[in-house]
Amino acid sequence: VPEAYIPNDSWKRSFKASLSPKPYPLLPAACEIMPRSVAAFVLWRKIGGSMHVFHGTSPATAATLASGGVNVTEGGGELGVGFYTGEYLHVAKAWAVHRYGAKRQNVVEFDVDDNAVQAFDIVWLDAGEASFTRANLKRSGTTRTHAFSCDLVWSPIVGTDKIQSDQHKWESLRSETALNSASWPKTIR
Amino acid sequence: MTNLVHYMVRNPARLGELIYPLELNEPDYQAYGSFFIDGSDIDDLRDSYLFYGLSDEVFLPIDLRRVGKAQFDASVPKIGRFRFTATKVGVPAKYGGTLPFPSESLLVRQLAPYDRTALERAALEFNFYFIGFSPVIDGTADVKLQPAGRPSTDSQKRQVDW
Repeated sequence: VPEAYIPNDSWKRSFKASLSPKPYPLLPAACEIMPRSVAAFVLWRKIGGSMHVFHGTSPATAATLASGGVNVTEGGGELGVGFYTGEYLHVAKAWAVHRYGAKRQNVVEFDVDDNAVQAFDIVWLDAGEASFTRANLKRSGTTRTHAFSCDLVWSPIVGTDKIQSDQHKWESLRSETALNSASWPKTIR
Repeated sequence: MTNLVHYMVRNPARLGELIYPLELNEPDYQAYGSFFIDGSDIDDLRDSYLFYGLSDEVFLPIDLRRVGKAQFDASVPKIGRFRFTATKVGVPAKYGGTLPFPSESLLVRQLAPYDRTALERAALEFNFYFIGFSPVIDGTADVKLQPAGRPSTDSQKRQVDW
């Protein structure tokens, strides 16, 4: 099985480091080349506070997750192994209804502490990179095993061709611990 | 041909195929889906589609009405009107599952909402979601549904002509 090709993301880590001391200059030219996922992160930083992310699942699993049962090694998806969340409740609900057949108590909302996440090692993918990565993981059969060796992957949902919204793949033990901590409130919806 | 708005995901095992989420083989696999209709040419688009929503835990059949070349509106009583564009899918995909879906039908258009924040507001404030069709809706999947959630009249059932 050929090893999946993963785009070099070193520039993004450097870019993130450069963000720390000053706000990202939101010039039109910069916005045009800035991946949407990066723009979302920058906007989140500028607004401050907390971010809410959603995970659609079965009611039984939702209860487990809400009580601190997130395990980043159990899940998989288009970007490999990890625990996946999305930015919208309505997207998570549609998935949960059709995948698990339950109409209520099927989404867990995580109130994410942005200060903690800013200290994470984050890999951003734009739509093109995410599509390319997804195709290669699928081709190499590593959608359940591939890891980016970071805390969090932030990317558009690409499995349906058009950019729908952003997704987050929580990958490391540090991110798992944070998701399970009592200081990040969890609500079942 | 079908007049349904389908909720499907890309088959992780086979390129170029869409399946319903219940047909995914792998447990704990996350693959957020999207809303698909058929019609490669603009003339193939129907004037109306049946677009399921979920309102207060009850399945709600909603008329998705064509209002422009590829623009559609869905009005939900007491909640609002939502506009979608039927955009062409980059890689047309066939249904690759095991249900009796019309084999000649390619699902080549995807509904993109004009205003995603309006959809989220409807979810947070009114407990309303567009969910589209999958076998969960009509009970062909082995899932127990509330009777009130299905199309309850003959006229509504006749709209589902696949």
